[in-house]
Amino acid sequence: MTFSATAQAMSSPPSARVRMLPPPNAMTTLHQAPELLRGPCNDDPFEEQMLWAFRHNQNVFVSARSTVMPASVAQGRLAHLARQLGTMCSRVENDRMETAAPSPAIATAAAASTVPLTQHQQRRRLLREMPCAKCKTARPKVVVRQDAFCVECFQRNVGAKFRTVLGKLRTPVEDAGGRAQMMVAYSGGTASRVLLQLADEYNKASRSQRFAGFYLCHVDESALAQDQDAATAFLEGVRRVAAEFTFTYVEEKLENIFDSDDPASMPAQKHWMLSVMPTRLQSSSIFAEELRAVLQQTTLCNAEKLRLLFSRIQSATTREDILEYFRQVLLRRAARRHECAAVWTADTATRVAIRTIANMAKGRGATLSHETAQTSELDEHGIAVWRPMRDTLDKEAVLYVYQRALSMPPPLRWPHHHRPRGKASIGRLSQDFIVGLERDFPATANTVTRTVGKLTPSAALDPTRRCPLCQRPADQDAADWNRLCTVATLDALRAGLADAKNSLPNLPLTFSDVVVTSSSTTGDRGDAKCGDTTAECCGSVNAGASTSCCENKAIKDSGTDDKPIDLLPTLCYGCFVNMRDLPAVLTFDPSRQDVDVCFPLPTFVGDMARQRVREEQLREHIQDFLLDDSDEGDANDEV
Amino acid sequence: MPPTPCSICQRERAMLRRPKTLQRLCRSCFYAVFETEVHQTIQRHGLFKRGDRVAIGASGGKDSTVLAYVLKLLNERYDYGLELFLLSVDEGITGYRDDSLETVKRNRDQYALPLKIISYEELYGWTMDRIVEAVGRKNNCTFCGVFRRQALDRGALLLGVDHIVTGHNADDVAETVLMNILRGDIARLQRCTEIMTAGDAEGAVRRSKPFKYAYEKEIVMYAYFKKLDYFSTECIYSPNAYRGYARAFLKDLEASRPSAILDIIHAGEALLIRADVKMPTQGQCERCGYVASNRLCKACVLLEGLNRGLPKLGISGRASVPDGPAVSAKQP
Repeated sequence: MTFSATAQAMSSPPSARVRMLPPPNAMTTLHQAPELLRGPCNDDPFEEQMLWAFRHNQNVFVSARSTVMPASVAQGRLAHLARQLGTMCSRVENDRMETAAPSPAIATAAAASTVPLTQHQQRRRLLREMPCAKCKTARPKVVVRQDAFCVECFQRNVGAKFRTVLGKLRTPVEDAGGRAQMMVAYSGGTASRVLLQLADEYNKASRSQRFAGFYLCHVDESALAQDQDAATAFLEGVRRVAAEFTFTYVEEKLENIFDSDDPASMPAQKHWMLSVMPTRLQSSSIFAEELRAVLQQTTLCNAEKLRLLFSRIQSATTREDILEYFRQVLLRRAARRHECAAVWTADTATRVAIRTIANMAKGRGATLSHETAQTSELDEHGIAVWRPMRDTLDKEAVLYVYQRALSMPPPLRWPHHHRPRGKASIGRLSQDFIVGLERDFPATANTVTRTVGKLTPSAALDPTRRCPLCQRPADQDAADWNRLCTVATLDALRAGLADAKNSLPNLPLTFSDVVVTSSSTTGDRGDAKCGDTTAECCGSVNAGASTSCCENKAIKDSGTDDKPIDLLPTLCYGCFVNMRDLPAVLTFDPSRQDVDVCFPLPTFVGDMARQRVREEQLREHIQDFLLDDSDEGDANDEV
Repeated sequence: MPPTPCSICQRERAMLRRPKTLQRLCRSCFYAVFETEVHQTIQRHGLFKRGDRVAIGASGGKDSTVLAYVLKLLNERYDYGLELFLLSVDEGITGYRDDSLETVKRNRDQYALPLKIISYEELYGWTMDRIVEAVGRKNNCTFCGVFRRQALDRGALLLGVDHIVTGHNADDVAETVLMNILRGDIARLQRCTEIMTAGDAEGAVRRSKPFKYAYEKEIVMYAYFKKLDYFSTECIYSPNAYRGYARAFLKDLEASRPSAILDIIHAGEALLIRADVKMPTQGQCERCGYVASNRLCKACVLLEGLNRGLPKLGISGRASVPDGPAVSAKQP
């Protein structure tokens, strides 16, 4: 059915038909919209003809008389009426004003609709010409996507979206064991401020929906701040805001990531260092082939380790990733300590869309649904991450804070925060990309959010095997997958050429020569690994960072527990890419030969890697006795 | 400073920096590495069987020219036992396709491969020039993409081949993954990272992308150093603003981290759709028997629109996201 508006003369539909035709609910809706029906309703043929046409699946004719109202108003009312009547709305909007011979007034409107208005013009027009899209009475104040709302409806809408998501999330928890404790993550930013407010109001609204307890957790990153005064002021601001609520306030220091979960697992005075060994220091490859976690003596305090780590990671993408995962680990740890069932984060639709794009670009597809869904999978301690603001836009969050004048801590810019300028990091690029698209296509964030909502964690994931670094379930094939689609070494190339049937007529003569003679280089490298690593450590780590690097060797040899661990194969794909990126600095800047290649690691990383390696070894031991599906088939056959 | 040696053979002088890994390589190592990667892709996914008749979708552009060259070379080197053909679609775009077809004809002679050209004119009775006259410049890529997909299949049937290979490279695949996320096309999101179409429906010819893991820049580099003869003009009707955003973003990502393109493909392959999400089922077009998600296939709907003078028929009215072509809509 195509609607078109035209001024051509048209006999008015018989009034009797008008009376019996409109379906009762449509009629009711119309009467509930006084703004729309204001004016000479009965002798304005506009609505009558609309209803008549809707009923008859006919074109909508707007008679010349109705054009006494401004064309834009007529157009707005046409669209609005159609929206009232449900399904016809979009079709009217898409095809309206497509006429052969429009009246001058309509023609202006039609021309206006073909020349695309800027977003600003569209907003202006919505605010000027339409009533609030929700209550249909008040004057609108804000435009969200394509609708204008009055202040009350807007705020109610934000709350309603929050409650809808939360309603779905809390049911399984309640089914499982009644009232649970919750932890709200509060960063001091706008979105989490809204989350805090909404959580508080939700909890106060009725006794029946109250949770058993609320904690408020702030991860204090001031150890990374350059301007300590500003950081202190910010932290005080956060505490002031937190004090406004009845929730129990918990503060986690970012550097405590280096504390052990289980103090017994780690001898005092030792810590894990990540020792990076690029393929060859002088090689032009940017990728590391070896990453080892080694135990070292330490005199560093946690904050020093944290600063050392972040100052040594050159890639902004890796830095922002690690920061993000540290935060999550800390939040979960706090939740566990306070026996909370879930951590609430203020991931808005905008933020979820940005993370979706960024995680895709970082190769984290397998865990994408985990990171973007309304709730994550439960971790090994049964704690989930909830995202009750997943349907709210960043813009709405900012407007909400502004309109209600919610208290905020003083603004603070972090040097290591995930806000590098320009094109420095993938997170930043993704943010600019989504925010830029939102400007022209306001539905972008919601579309992306809806799309990833249809995903589920990859079947390749084994929930019992976690990546030591990001603590997410790890996909197993990171290094293999890469090797299969990139031939980066001579060995790989020779393997690839081995099954050539013809005598390589298209290869240069020198090459077959090389293929034979160069095997020695790679062999040597394998043997020299240990020595190299140590030497490199000693040469490169400055005095403050590692007082006794050479003790390394002694520790390494002393007991099985202290053996360096080959970290690369245990990582998930995303962390594998991140870590492989680490030595980039070595090769990009040849003048810096003395560059540091050791990175302090949190205890849990080394511990978990060690555990993974042990499991792997055990598995190898009993490998011959394990049955896989094909073996089972054979066994059955024998029986 | 002494010249840097190639980081693979350690002998020759490095001539180029490889976009995928930023290694410095000599020319012959670059060729060998590039070809070996394509070979490994073909082997690992079992794209071909001995004796297969394979049509190379050839547009005369860089991707398909390099694909034809490399496939012919690998077929000899590894003795795949394939019979290769060039298959071109003539969309009827004056000043673009007629020129690029000349390139394809030269390639036919250079590589001694048989060539079949199939035109929109003979299949549908419409050239793209006339379609653009009828529908304007806004949605014409939809027509071209939908028609080309079918044209390739029909050409393949005429040639009696088992398999069509197209020159889609890693950049194209990564870009399509992003596009499908952005416009919420969940079914295509899952399909677009597959290297080979299932080809289970009878009559459907298998399609694959041997360059799925090959960077666009490396393909250009390969063509440049090998001095291959290709046609490098953009389609005169092509600009698609929305896809342009994704492309620009991808280039930025690549600059920020060279492995990002591969990482997106890896992520795309790992995506899994919830079991309870309703997916369009593929059936057959009532009119022409081609694969279709609806009663009629898209090409028949579009064609009917054209013939009845209702060119808007079948073009969805998404308000915010223009209906850009899917991966299949790229130049073959």
